[in-house]
Amino acid sequence: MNWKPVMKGTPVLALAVALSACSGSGGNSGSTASPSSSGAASGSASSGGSFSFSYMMAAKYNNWLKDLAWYPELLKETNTQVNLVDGGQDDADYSKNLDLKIGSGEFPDAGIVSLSQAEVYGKQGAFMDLKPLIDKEAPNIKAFLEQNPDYANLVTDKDGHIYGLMQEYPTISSVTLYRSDMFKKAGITQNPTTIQEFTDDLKKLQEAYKSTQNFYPFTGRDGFIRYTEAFDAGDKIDADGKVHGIYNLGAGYDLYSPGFKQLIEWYISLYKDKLIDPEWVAGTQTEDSWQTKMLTGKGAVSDDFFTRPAWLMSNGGPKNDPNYDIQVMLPFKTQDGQQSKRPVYPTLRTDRVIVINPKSKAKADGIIKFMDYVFSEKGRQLMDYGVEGTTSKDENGKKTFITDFSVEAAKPLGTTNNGVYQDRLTFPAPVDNDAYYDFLDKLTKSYAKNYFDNYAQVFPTLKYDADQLKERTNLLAKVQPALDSNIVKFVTGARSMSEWDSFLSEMEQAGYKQIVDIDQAAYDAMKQQ
Amino acid sequence: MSAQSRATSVVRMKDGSRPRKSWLKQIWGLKILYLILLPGLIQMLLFKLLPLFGLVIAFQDYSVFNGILHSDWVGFKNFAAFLHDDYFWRLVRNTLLLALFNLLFVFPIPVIFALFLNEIRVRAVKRFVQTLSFFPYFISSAVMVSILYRLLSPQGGLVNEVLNSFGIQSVFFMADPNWFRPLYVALNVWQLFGYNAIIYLAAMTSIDPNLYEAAEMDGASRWQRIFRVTLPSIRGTIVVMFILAIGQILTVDLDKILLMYNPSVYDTADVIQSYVYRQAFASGGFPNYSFGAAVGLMQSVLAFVLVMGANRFSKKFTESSLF
Repeated sequence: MNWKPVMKGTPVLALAVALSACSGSGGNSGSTASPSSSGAASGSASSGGSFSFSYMMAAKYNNWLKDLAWYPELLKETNTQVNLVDGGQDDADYSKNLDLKIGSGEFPDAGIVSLSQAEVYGKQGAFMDLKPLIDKEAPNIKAFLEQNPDYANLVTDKDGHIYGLMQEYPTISSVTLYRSDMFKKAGITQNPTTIQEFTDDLKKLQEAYKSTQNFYPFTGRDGFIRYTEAFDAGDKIDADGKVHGIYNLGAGYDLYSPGFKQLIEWYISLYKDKLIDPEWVAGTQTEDSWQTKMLTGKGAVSDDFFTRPAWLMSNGGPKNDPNYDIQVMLPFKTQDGQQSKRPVYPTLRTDRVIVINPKSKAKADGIIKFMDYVFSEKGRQLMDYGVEGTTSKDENGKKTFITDFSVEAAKPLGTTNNGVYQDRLTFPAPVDNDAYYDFLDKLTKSYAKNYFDNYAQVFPTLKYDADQLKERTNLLAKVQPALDSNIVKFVTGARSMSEWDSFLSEMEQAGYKQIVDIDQAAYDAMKQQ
Repeated sequence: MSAQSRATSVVRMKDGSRPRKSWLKQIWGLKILYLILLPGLIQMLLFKLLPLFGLVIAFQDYSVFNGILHSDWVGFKNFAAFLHDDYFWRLVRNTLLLALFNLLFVFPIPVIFALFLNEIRVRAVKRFVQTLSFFPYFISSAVMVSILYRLLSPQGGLVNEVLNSFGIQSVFFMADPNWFRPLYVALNVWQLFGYNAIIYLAAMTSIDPNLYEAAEMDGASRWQRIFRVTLPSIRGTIVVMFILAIGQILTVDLDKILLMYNPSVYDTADVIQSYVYRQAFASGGFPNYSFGAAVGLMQSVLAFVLVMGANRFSKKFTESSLF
């Protein structure tokens, strides 16, 4: 994480507030003067189009975009010059400064904000309503909105305004990856299909590697609570529209479901039997130490981002052990024998929304036309398949990639990259999952499509208003650490399971159910809309 | 010149008053000095005094978009929200304990170190030790905490390997709430003792060497010279540094805390600043600046009272003070 001490920075913050915010930006809509690109314009890859506009993203995305081979083509096709403005080094840095930039009038012609910011500040005049522009100038965006009601519903406010266009994200999720060579050595010939089989296999691995010091078969990084779907313990919105648990698009859990208690009991047994890495459970595992363990055989199974198997294979795995092999197993069956599905990462990125500054009204038509090209068939082909003849080629109407993902992805920053990476932020656009999976490395491609088409589940995205967001954040600030801390205590035995019911009462008192109520209200409002 | 002769040399008007020289003339007379002062004054005005006006947002439901002039006034709502928070006392306890331990160890160790270092007669050794002790100050908190994680890991960490070699079971230092405060304080000591010692070493250079000579002639041992000459001579500096340290009593190193923070140690690691950070600055696009400013203002007022109190106490009992 990249934050700075809030208290230390107070004088600077206060100065910024005092200097920039006394009058507010006021959203001076109506001005036709072209805005100057305040902030650090990081240049453009264009050789000079007839139309230009400034566009702000985090610096890392700008840097990636400048290297992409399809970017100059896009600018040429649209006869546009885009002045990329760095709004902060990474996402955390960007979002921290964004509010001040909007308020102080430093926002360029266009830029990335969150959907809530787009609506709240859009209503106050900070961003343009794109609906009339789309109707007039953007037939491709209009058609896309008509064909994708969920997307359209999310970007349209209750008064029918559209203040921003959101990025679609590929359908991807975490996967369970395992060392197939270690499984073989432990005598495991078939992949586990249930939690019980998985536990038995972890025990076999432990037995086979008992002489390896500090070997824990199941290891990982970040939060250790996985497989809520196998216990029917995940957060969700049921068929009747009822929200269960603090809603996190299936990536969280429903504390009050019977399955969640069983899930914790399962983790307790893993911890007691030394089947799970205690550093992971305690929350002290770093990415570095997790990687080292997976590369050096101190762990055999993990649950992580779906491209991690390929990363481990190409970052030292086979060098450490010639037999090193990583594979992916399918999600487990639920306790009643149904095949569970992994929750996918948000497919509609409410944190990646392009908006237009009303001070740049004179350029708005041009910007929306540029975005319409991005949404067009030609634009999609270019961004999803890259430059014809360089990244891919057309064979009987079917696009085939002629570049290698592992070669392109390994290229250093500052060199032309022929790859296509739809998961990266460029210009918010629709996604083409098949193209995305098709460009991946050989190992990832071998399971991606089947896994995400058949064993992953998309959860609806919720939209909160400013008050809901504020209250939710305040409550989460109290509830989340208490939740995390107590779950670790239960699993490590620092707190007895006999206190489970009092723990549930504590969480209710801290505001757990209030957060669920906010999520329910947000869902109901969206449904009504 | 005696006091009497100095008094008689002052020129006086007929009514006994001193001749009035306009303040502008006085400034003009010392213009070079005032010019030297000017950059500092401008810096203070811009970066210290002007931002103070921004603190009014503590009494508002501040929106960056609306600005200070158009944001809603909410009185003491933000202050009340913090004071009535269920976590308030836990946060205050954690913050104060961390700060007190810090004061207890981080403050005296540089003094002791400087006293010993001052006794080294070989200049090259003295310089080498001083440089070495100063070095950790330049290591970032992220690197420092990362080193700590590696050293203390229960799986292959050096400290636990040593413990194991003595037949002692591994200790999960970074996941034990009882170890959080000692580790935080130890890191601060390691990072700051060399840097802070410079101030005391500088104060020691101004001690009159005749005092040491006289003490030596009177047969004072090395310990006696430290306690009877060096320590009393730098007492004023120690007192001033102590008063300043008291002013920082509610300030913790948030960087370090957040890096050492994990679900296992929330009970002791969650402090006012980390809570405010979660509340005010992780709000998905709408930072709650007003809440952050209100808590910051409360901390500042309390720190001001503590500094004034300590200064008064010091003036009364030690004859040394900050102002």
